[in-house]
Amino acid sequence: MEKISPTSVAALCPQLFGLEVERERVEALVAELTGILSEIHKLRELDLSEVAPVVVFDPVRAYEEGRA
Amino acid sequence: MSATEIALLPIEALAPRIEKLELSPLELTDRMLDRVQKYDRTIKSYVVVSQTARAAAERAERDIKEGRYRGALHGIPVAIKDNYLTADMPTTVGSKAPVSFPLVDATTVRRLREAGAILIGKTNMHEFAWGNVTPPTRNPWNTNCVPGGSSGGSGAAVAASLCTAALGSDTGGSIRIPASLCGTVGLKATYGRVSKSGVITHSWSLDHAGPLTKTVKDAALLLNALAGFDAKDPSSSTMPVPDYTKALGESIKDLKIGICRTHFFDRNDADVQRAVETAVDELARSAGGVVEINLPNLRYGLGAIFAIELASSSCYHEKNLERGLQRHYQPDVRTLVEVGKFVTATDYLKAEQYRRVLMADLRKVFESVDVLVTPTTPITAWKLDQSTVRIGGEDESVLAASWRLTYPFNLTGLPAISIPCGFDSRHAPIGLQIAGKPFAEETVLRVAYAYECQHDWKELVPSL
Repeated sequence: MEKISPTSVAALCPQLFGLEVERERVEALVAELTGILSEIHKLRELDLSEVAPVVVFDPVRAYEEGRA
Repeated sequence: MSATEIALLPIEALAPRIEKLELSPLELTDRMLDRVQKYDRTIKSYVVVSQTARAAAERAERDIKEGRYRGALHGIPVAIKDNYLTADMPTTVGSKAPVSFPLVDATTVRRLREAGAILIGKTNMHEFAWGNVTPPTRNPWNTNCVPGGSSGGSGAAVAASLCTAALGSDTGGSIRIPASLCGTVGLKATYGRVSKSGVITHSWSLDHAGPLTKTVKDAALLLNALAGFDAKDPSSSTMPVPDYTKALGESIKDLKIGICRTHFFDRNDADVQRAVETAVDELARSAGGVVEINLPNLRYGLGAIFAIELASSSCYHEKNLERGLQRHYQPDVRTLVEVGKFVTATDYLKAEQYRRVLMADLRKVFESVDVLVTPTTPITAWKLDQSTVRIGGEDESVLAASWRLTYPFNLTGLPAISIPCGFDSRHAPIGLQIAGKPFAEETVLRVAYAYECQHDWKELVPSL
């Protein structure tokens, strides 16, 4: 989601949450997304390719919890 | 002692009186319910008042008289944030949307009942724990101001002595922010320390459950009851639970205080900065020294918590989104829940990678310090209709400012407490945040208690 515009957001809404979204709602989404995505863009600057995500799949724990 | 004076007392003062039968749990509960009736028309901290509280208080009284005293929480009126499931009161999560939740007790609610606490009602919250305002609740120190959020009802109810303590939940600061703005203590323990089973999810890996109280010792007493493994919560820890009151009062001379000038001290309201700097100086004299540290990677933190919190919340609300129920959400919450659908999977995973980097940074920091001390919020309670605040010559959204100093400890899951450390020029409370290593709640509480004992902030109460 690189380019944020009312048109791109309005086009994605029905796909993302199954609703046609009225114009004022699109404007609210664009306003919120602009700030949020600028922060997420900063995060993308980091090269973390050698870092495992902090949430690690633990099959044994998940298996045992499934038993409970 | 007058009825008002009794209602203002913390657990640490009430419990010995109740144990010695000098104070009746029923009388205490009645005083509290009277206050709710009298003052909550203005404060609006409660969603619902329990119809079973008096019966529970009668039972507590009978048990104590017959020699079955259960401990410090027995007979104490406690309020519950409206995102904890309760068997005897409905749960709305602060929403008017047509969604319903089962009438069962969350694990923490059950533990409070087992400890003999009297659950007197459910407190208001920002819808689905998604905000820092908590309409329509007012701040007891100034009813033209917000109480913070999302546990704003709990913060306001404790500050106004409409309960003796309350439960809140904290995904980016939602216990500590209302604690700071309302002048109470708010404790977010290490992720996994307190069960979240039966607390409606906001964001699985960021959510924490915990208490808001009048004093640090009360927070320790609540944590004693709340902490411990729960098989129903996949994130619950099996770490042993100590008695959190034990180390309170011990010298902190052996502890080093860490200060991170960047991020935590670079953009604060002048009164907040002054109060926190004074608190740091005082702590420096009591502790074994202050060490300045740096956490440059915090500049990526906001993007990370946005990615995780937004995506998780939207995932949780997926079923409601499919049914178009977001039309019933408040506009600000609806926007955030919908925005989460725009977060990509790679951004989400990058944020989870970043958390490991930040944890590694903090591990290094905690090799040279025992706690980090920061302001809780860069600003004090803002006006109900205020959307921006001017800090250091720049305008900033109050919502963005209010969680800037708390969310790092949700990303890292580290224990953090907010305690009062003064008032600004408008007589609004200021919060001091103390954070520690994983499962170092005892150290965090010990430092908080050492500071609290040097001041009379906890004696000051809002005039209603």
